[in-house]
Amino acid sequence: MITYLPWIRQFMRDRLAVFGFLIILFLVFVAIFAPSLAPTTSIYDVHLSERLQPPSSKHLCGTDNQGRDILSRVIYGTRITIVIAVIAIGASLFLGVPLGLISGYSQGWLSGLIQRVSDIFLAIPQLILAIAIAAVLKPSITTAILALSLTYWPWFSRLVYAQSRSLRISTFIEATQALGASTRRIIFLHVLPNVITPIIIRSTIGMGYTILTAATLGFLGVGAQPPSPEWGLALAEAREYLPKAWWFALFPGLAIFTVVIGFNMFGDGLRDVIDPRLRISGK
Amino acid sequence: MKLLVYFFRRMLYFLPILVSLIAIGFFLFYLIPADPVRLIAGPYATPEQVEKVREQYGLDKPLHIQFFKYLMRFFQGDLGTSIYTHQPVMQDLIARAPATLELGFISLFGSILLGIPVGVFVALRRNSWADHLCRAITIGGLAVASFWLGILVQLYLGYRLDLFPIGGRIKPGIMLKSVTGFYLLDSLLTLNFRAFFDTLLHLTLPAITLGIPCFATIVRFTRGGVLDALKKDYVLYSRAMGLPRPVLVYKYILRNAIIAPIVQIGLLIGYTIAGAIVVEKVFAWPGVGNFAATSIIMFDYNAILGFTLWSGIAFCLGTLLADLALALVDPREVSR
Repeated sequence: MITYLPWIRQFMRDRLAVFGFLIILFLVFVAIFAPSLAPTTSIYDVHLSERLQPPSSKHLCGTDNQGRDILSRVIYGTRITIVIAVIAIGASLFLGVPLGLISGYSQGWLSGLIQRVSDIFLAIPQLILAIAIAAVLKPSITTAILALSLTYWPWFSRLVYAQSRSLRISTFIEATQALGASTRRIIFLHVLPNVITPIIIRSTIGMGYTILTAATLGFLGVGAQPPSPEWGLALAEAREYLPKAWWFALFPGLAIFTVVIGFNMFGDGLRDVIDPRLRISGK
Repeated sequence: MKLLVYFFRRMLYFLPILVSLIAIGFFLFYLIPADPVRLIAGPYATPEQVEKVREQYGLDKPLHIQFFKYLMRFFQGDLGTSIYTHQPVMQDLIARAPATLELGFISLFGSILLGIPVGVFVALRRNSWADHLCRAITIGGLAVASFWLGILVQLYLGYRLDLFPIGGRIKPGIMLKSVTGFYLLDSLLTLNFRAFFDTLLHLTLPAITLGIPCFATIVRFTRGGVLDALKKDYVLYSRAMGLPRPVLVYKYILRNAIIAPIVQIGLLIGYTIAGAIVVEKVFAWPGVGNFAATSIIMFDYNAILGFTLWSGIAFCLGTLLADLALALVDPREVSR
């Protein structure tokens, strides 16, 4: 078993990474306790008499075009963000890791096919493919999650492929083979544990990226649909009420920004600690 | 000669990617819950009319033959008809391409012009306040949603300070004779300086919005590249030989340090074209991105697929250009 203690100690020295980690913790905390933290739990109720009010003691972040409390909606938005990111990354892992293991450990046409398909997906930006998929299917959060998962798995398959390829020719795998272990046993008991750390790093960085893409889909109208408090969608709605209602556009965007920065800083720090070879010099 | 062979070899690599992209589009078309024939024929078509449309579009043929025809159509430049402009999608894309290319070029060119010197500068002054400031900008620039950034600059530099127009390409009423479709070029060619400065003003905000992530990426990789090169033995050697610092930095270090940013710039070419979908929507920029953003809302599948293909080509071309630039900077690439 690998001991993680020195890594944790080194990680704690990277102030930005710790800050990123705290942001993520805060996000999860807010998402879980949203009903108690939000000023109001009725985030869908329309109050036309209170529409587009600037920030005040009653509505700390103001109200939107339908008189709904923006702070509450941003708080509830954390739940959507987490659900989208976790399911999309989870599904990508579920697809990409086994495919990467198969193509990395086995040889032959299947391996080649998986890698060529990954190539194609990696050559085209995720946003473009996700837009095409989400636009053609009926736009909803589910479609957005599906589109994000279908376009992110190649990152994992490529990563696992590269790692398991080099493991395949290592001495300890050869020894296990000589002892008569089955291919399945070798893949799951010996190869997989050795590729798990890069997978964790990739997932963290992927979270930030996925959240940003999901918000973009929401903004373009192919993700969450009204009256969802999703942040990207909120920004699309807020755009109609500029320049007067600046608070309407400010807070949902700030939420996206903070969360993505959190995941990016945490991911970068994690990578520097665990796999210093991948770091961009002097970062 | 060797360079040319290399170029064509790289080009061949992109052909399967484009074909696969068309294939993805084709299969998505069949995933649409609604029958595409009904969509084309309209809600009031009689069964006979529907059958006629089905035959007309070749949708009664087996799938593989349909795909082959579909592919052939693409290579002939036929992307189908847009449901909402009622024009061939190809024509729509071509008409809007100059606006997008102009915006993309300005933002990327500006980012390169600013980003590379800044990257070198902060790398040479590592851990100074300028370096820390730059790092903050880099982290922020890569995490910000471009539509939010666009709205913010629109709000503060456009509405609040009234420095720049908040949308469009040129003030209505200013006449500009169209030669190439690139307004900056057109206004210079026709010596119309009023139009030139107005176009420049209109370009500023969208170009900043689109350019900040590019700038952040270029600074980050240039800085990393320079720091990497500084550690190399040949730098130590040249320094020991008493080579003047500017010569060392610009002639020896930069040439090695530039490789990582060049690869990134190749990717950014694709990003500026594809990312335009969001920025153009925010700034009502009459380009391909705005067209695509509208077609999404109108469920205009042919137009969406046209945009997907256009972005795919932009990405392949960007990577290709980067490969070529790399081959010029680093001859080892070609012989590999």
